[in-house]
Amino acid sequence: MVTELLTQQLPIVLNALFLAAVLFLLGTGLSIIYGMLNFLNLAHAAFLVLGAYVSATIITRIVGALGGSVGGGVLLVALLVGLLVVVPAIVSIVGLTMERTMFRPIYGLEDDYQLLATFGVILMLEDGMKFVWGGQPVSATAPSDLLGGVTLFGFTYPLWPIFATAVTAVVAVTLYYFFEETRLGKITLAMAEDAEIVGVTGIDTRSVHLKVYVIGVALAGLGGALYLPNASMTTGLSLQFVILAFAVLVIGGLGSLKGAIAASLLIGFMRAFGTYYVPQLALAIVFLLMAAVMLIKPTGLYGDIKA
Amino acid sequence: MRPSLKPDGDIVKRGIPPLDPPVDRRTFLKGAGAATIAASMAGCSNPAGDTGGDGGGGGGGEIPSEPLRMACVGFTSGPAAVFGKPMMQAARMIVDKINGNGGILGKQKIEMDEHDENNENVAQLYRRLATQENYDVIVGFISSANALTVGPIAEELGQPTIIWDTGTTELFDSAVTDPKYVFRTCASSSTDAVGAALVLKNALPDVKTVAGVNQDYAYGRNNWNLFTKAIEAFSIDVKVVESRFTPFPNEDFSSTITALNDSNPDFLFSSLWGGDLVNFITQANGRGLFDDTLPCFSGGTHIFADAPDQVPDGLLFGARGPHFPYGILGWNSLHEEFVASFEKRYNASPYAHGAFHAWQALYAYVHSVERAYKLSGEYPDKDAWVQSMEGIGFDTASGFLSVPRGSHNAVEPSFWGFSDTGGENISLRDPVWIAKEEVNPPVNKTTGEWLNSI
Repeated sequence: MVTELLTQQLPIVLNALFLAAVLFLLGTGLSIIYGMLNFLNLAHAAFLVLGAYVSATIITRIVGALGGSVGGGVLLVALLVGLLVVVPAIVSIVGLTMERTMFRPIYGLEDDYQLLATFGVILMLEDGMKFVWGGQPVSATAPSDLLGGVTLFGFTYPLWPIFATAVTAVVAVTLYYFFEETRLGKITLAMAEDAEIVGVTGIDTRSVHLKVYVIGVALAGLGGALYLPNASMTTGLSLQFVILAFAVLVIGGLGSLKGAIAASLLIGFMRAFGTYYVPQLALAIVFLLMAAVMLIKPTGLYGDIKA
Repeated sequence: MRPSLKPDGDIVKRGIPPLDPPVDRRTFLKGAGAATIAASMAGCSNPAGDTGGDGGGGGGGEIPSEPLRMACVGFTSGPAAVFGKPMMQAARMIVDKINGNGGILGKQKIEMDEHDENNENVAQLYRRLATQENYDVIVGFISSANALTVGPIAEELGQPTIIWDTGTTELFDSAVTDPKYVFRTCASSSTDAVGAALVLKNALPDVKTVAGVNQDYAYGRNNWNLFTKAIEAFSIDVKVVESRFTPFPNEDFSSTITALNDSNPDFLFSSLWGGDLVNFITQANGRGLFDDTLPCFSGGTHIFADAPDQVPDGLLFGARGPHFPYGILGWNSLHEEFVASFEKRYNASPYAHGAFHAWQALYAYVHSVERAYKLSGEYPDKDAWVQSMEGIGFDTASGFLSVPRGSHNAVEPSFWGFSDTGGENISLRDPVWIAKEEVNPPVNKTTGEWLNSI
């Protein structure tokens, strides 16, 4: 009886973990860029969407080039290299270009001006992506198809979300090591406290700033790459991801990696189980969670930086 | 193991609806005035630009020299662009064709402007088009919520308006109960939802359990409401084991699919469309939902163009009526020409039923003007246009379309087929259809009243 109940929950747990993985990759970038660099980028979620669109193109190109000539294993490896390396790199280049042209002039502005400006950037990016990829839903599921599925305790489940969750776990551990153990990570944490003092010590804060920014953007791009083979991307989804990214930020706390992990897991589980058991609350559940956290701990679960 | 269709042949029939109208075409010529022999000869089944002739009629009155100003409103951005874009493309192509043949009645050109329905304030947009920009006719609206908003405004302003794609039955059941200037030239959701229920009753005797997944807004709610009402009305011996409404748009259907899997329905009714439908099918494929559940997507054939790789073989699809570019539905020369022209001009297939709906809307307007002119001898003012639209019927790229007298809503047969991924284009195999009068209420009843009275 208990075993049956637990196995019935397993697919929901897997759903939750995959959702949490995508949210972590999306929200962490926003959190560290805002919390550590003091730049509130509403357009951050568009990097995930861009990552998804670029992934679709890369998957289609790779399958077109190699599809008939190599075995499934080789094709899968090529696709994974494309998704895990090339997509974040391309999104980072776009992000860097935008940083130099659009974002740098607004770093010194108040948060509300940054919000307005970067909201405009979202709309521009949306239109740009629509221009390139069109308004129709874009999907490319070859990586997920090649990985296939698994039958566990009588239910069928695709392996891709499980794989994506594992990749994200590795990324999370790596990031944790980076912030806790490396010099650059420590400098970044110090900059979050007081960038001016760090600058006085002779450290090139602009360089650190750019590196952290690129990490954040690349994470969002990776989120898009891991999301797409399990779904599709269409114009208009950017705003959904914006809301989710800010939910991670608010619930986890600014600039806190632990917070981003905890918030992603919390939202992922609340949404997955909420959708299953109380579907009427599928949309509201994230906001209820945000409200509850803000009432109890306004700086977020692990945040001690005030926005 | 998914169930297969066993149509009874009485209500649910194999194949495609007949091309001929249920009554003689001349019936559809009556209504705007005394039908004359000349008018009968004009033939209302030959819309402007498709006659191969001059498109002129026998009216004799003066035809305006200034162009007809037509506003087309549809989603050209956002998730609903899956319909809006091909609709606008079809509309533009049709206007160019009509103008290439001289215009309405062979003389009046159409000046068509495109407006994006993806607008925060559709009521304001509509009022501006009607009162400041003074369009002769406003054709458009894909979103059910938007149609419910603009319908009453159109009546208030006396603005000729054709709703071209919206499904909700609430349009004429509650939002505009006594329409004069508002028409809908495509079938309402009744065709889809009641049609699906009749398929269940008359072609799927082995189905015992049913579930639904629909978007949580006017269209999705309306579809599921009608479907479940029809189950009750027709005393269909099935149990509804799950009904799900998902946020719109939605990126993650995993837990919804898990819940549907756990309820293990034999049959799944869904009006999902756009990116949501692609996401749902993609995520359901990997989770084995369709292994022993037959899904029935009432308006989803557009994904044959958007995500062909995601479409498994053997799922049941409708296209908001009989609007499908390939396979068995080689309706007539209009269908062949429309599909070929669309492919040639846009290098894409008009899988989205909206493209066919655009065809119907534009030709309904043009044809009603021509009919009024031929019957009365005068170019119609808006009231004469209304008279001409009421009871109109003509050949379209999807068979014969009619607006029953006493109604402002076109009726179409219900049409379903299994996705067939074996050919060059995804097609529908083993199709079945249900006559339009079986899936639409009589003109003196709302859909709800009709279903309650069965």
